[in-house]
Amino acid sequence: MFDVLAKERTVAGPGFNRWLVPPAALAIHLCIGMAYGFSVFWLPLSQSVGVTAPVACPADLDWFTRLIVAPGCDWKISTLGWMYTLFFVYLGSFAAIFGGWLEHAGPRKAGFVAACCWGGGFLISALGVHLHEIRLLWLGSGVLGGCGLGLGYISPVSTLIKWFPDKRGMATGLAIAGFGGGAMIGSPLADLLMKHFRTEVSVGVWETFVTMGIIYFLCMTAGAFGYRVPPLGWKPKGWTPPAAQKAMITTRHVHLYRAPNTPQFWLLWGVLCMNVSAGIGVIGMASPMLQEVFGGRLIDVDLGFAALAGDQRQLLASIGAGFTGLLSLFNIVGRIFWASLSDYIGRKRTYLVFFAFGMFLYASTPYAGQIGSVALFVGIFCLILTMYGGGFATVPAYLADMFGTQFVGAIHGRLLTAWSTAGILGPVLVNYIREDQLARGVAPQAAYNTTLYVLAALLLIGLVCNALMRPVDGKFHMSDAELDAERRLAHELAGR
Amino acid sequence: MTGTERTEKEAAGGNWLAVAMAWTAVGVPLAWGIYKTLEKALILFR
Repeated sequence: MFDVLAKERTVAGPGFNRWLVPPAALAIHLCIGMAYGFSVFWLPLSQSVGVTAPVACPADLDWFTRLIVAPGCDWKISTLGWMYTLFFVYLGSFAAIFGGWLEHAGPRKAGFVAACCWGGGFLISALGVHLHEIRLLWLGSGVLGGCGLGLGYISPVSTLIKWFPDKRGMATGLAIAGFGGGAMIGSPLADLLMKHFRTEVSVGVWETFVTMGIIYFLCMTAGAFGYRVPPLGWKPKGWTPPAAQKAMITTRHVHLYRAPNTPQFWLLWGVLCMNVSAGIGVIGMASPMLQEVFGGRLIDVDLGFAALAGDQRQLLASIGAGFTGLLSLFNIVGRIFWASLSDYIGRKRTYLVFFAFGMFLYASTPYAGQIGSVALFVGIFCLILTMYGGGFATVPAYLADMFGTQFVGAIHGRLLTAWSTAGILGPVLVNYIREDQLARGVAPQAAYNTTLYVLAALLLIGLVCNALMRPVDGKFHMSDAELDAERRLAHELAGR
Repeated sequence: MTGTERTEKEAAGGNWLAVAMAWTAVGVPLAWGIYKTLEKALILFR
């Protein structure tokens, strides 16, 4: 039965249209992208016992019982928020560990396992909500779901790059844009489902988890079965590799196990980590910064944020939520735009733009606040978010240019540990710098400025890493015999 | 036109139909998500 998942069974026949592969990849990425939208569950889950309002735990309970067991009382949002940490730690770890397996097992098997993990994680979480057991939620959506994220994220990379040698950036950009767009579909869908399932005794979350788990499993499985790998040596009709080989695009391949021994791997790790750390930092502060810097001006009231009444602050919060939504849209647009542009101007130049232009934009944000221009402020943040998304989407093509296509999915998996690191570094930096500034007596709206300058400094480190990128030394390349052996293991020479 | 040529042409036509259907399947929910996001973001410009 599992034969249908085997890589040999996914080799495309003659006349297969390569444009069928990106929607298959999108089907998987749009599902796992819901990881970004999980905060839609925090508020209802924080009152899953009380239903209409949270029930506080008795003060005499020890911290473990209060936070983890929470008998007859509700979970805190901070306890639920650990899910994000688990998501990104397990995403990076699993992508790194199972990337090599993916290259041999093929994208369909990896996609199907990802569907089981992500969909199954939702079902375990539903049980966790039903039994009021937070550990089941962490295990289900956090650990198992995180594994699904890691495998699902890297599953189409290698395949797309092989189908689109002429448009590597665009092809991977399209798929990775789906990861950015997943929450745009998942969050409103979850909201609709929770409203539908809500009763007097249930906030409707476990029922929503069951429904979404099944939907995601089916969509991801459909995507996995849509994957086809090109036959060895396949080229797009009428396309010939450029006669004059570009120095920054190799025709050779580096083995997965040798890639971390190259300086290029660690320089790219630094490039991704710095771009993502700065981006995550800025995403976390965008909405509160807009509200605190512009205060009442956002609702035509001539008052600072601190002087606003409760209902006015609520209005500001909805403006902040709209702003966050707009940023997620620019994040997606950037993934497609910058990754596609990198096919024409080169990956190194694309990252040069991210870092150099990014530093200018980060440093200009306080000025937009000082002159009171909401439009300029919003515009700067939108541009920054396009480059944050672009950084994610362009990196698989950068890797393929540097290390060849044989192990690009697996090497990409290893590189995603940079994302996990950035997921901790970015928010920690932002929070600590802000706390330090406030402790020194800096006004809340001005406390963001130092943070932005520090984030710009991170981009400077990324700029240096990118500037140091050179083609990989020939001693790291696989020999023809090694490549043949590897292709046999990856079932690419079957039938020859 | 030979039988083989006709079959190949028909297969190519079917392929593009499959491409259109696959892109619609992912495009429609994505378009709905973008619409919902823009609806929420409009408050910024009021």
